[in-house]
Amino acid sequence: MLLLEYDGKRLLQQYGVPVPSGALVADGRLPKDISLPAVVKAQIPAGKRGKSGGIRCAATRGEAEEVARRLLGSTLRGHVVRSVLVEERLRVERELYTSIVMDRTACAPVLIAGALGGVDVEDAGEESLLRIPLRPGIGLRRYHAHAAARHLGLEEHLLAWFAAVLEGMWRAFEEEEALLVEINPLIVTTEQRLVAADVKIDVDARGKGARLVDDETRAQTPFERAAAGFGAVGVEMAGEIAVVAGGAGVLMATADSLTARGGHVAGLLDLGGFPRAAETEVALFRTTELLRPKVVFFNFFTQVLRCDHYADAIVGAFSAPGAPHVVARLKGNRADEGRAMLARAGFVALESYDDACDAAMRAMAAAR
Amino acid sequence: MAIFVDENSRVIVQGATGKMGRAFMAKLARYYPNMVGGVAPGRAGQRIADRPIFDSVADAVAATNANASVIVVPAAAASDAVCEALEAGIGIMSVYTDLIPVHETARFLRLAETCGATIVGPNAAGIVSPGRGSISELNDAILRPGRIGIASKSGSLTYEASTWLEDLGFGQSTICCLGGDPLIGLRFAGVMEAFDRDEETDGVVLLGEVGGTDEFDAAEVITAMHKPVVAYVAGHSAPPGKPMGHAGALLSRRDDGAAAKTAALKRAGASTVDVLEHLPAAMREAFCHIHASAS
Repeated sequence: MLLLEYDGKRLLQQYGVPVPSGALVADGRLPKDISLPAVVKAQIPAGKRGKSGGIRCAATRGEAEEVARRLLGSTLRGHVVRSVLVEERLRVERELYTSIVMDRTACAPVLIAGALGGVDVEDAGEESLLRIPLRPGIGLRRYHAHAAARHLGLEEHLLAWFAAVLEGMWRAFEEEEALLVEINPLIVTTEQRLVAADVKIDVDARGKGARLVDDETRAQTPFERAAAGFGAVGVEMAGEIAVVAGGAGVLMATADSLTARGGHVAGLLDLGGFPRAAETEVALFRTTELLRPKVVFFNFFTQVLRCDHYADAIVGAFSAPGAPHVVARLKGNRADEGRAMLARAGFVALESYDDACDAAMRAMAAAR
Repeated sequence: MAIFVDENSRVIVQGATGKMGRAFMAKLARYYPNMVGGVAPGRAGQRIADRPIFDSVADAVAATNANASVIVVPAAAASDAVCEALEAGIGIMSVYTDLIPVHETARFLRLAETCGATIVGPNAAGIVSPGRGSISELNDAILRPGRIGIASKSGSLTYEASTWLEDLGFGQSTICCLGGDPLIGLRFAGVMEAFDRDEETDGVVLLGEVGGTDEFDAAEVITAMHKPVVAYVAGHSAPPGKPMGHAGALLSRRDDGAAAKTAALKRAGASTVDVLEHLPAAMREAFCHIHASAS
């Protein structure tokens, strides 16, 4: 879960990392003492804000107010801008890249440093980045900072500052159980200060840092929140077919199969461990309400859970007039009974995965 | 021979008296005489599914020579359970527990490495060599012994693949369901190496997913393999930045998508499919030289 830039900066500041002076503005009224020229930055939990017009410069107070008003309430990269950060504009001598990331391959934190900080570090190319694994029990030490400084070509007088920035990043990473602490760019100002101009912190939803993220900044839609609320997993996409299944792998596969047939998936609901029909029925009802799909496609190959229970829930949730078309693939435990129940209620129910995907597409065509 | 677990495995269940633990005890006891007991602090002397319960892993090892474990404790107790198993000398453990903080996982995975132990998962369905040994939640009723290996991140896809294998007349040597978390212990590359060495495995089905680099590492192993490999990577339609049910199934970088992974596996010599329903035909073709009845 990404922290908003402002929250990330406040956090790093607590760990001794210098950040630009600035203020968070949610209502369009700027504080008296903003420093000009200023940068106005939309606060959303997503990257690439610069490219989508979410970061603007302002020479005068009036200009800053105008930009803030325009950004507030607008939608950027799928997120409503609820606040903007108005900051001093730094005088830049150099832009650097630094991050500490939990590396999936090493199963350990890795320090990454690059001499070309700026808008899109992915374009800098892997070869220009220095990667130092931070081993358990050793962590980040002064000699790692020195190695990174050498790689970046930092001058002697910046070394102690740079080491302090890295140490702050490392402590934040460890103590907040973060998955990513990134400063990009880390700026060397013309006054020879090091300042974290942009900060991206990704915290583990299961770790200590989860407390730093409120509901609104979680990148979750009402459907995804509702799914979590009833103990399932929801993934909202943009389309017309809702896919309900048991297990993340089969959900992804089903979305792939429908997409390959030209279908558009509205969202996925993983009902993995839902044992009782009544709970399932409520979950299905809410899913339909929130996703408004034209077709709901069930894909269940059950082992312990019973297909006839799922069928019961489907009949309960989708028999009212105006309900979306239903196609079900039921296989496994009491699947014959389940399919018979659905067929009696007028729903399409099949055993073969391939045939059921085809049937879902036919239902989609009919719904159009 | 099989890989990782077989008839020489002596399996215990950690967290044996919880709801999930009891289900594991009952299921494993039904199919596997080498499931030798369970662990639950303070419950020594009880029996579940006609197997003894021990206070600690050390007690269980002393009494039964246990060498493999399934961990089904709640997330808050998972690190302790792993450390206890490591200290008691358990060589392979499958962590079924979901929602363990990633930093905790990182810590115990590195500990396991220094102990020379193998951790499967977390959030893994585990490993089963049908009819021989299991540290897995997979339902043995629909598995059967044979000579095709399955390496998978997903339990649900494994059922689809094993059922289609059965339709083609093939059983499974070993099934390794490695888990959907961002950090996991045993990974595809290690599994593929083991399958390549295993004399009782003639071909392998790999079921990967979007996110991370494990499938790329597996491709490097496959390049040097002489056994046929059929692969499907789920998540071609996954939007970036959204965990697709598995916390680890997260399209985050430009190059960890399902299409890139599929291409890498194909270049390595695997027979790949872009949709699940093409798996049976690909398996039939890739495994046609394998004598099905020998399975």
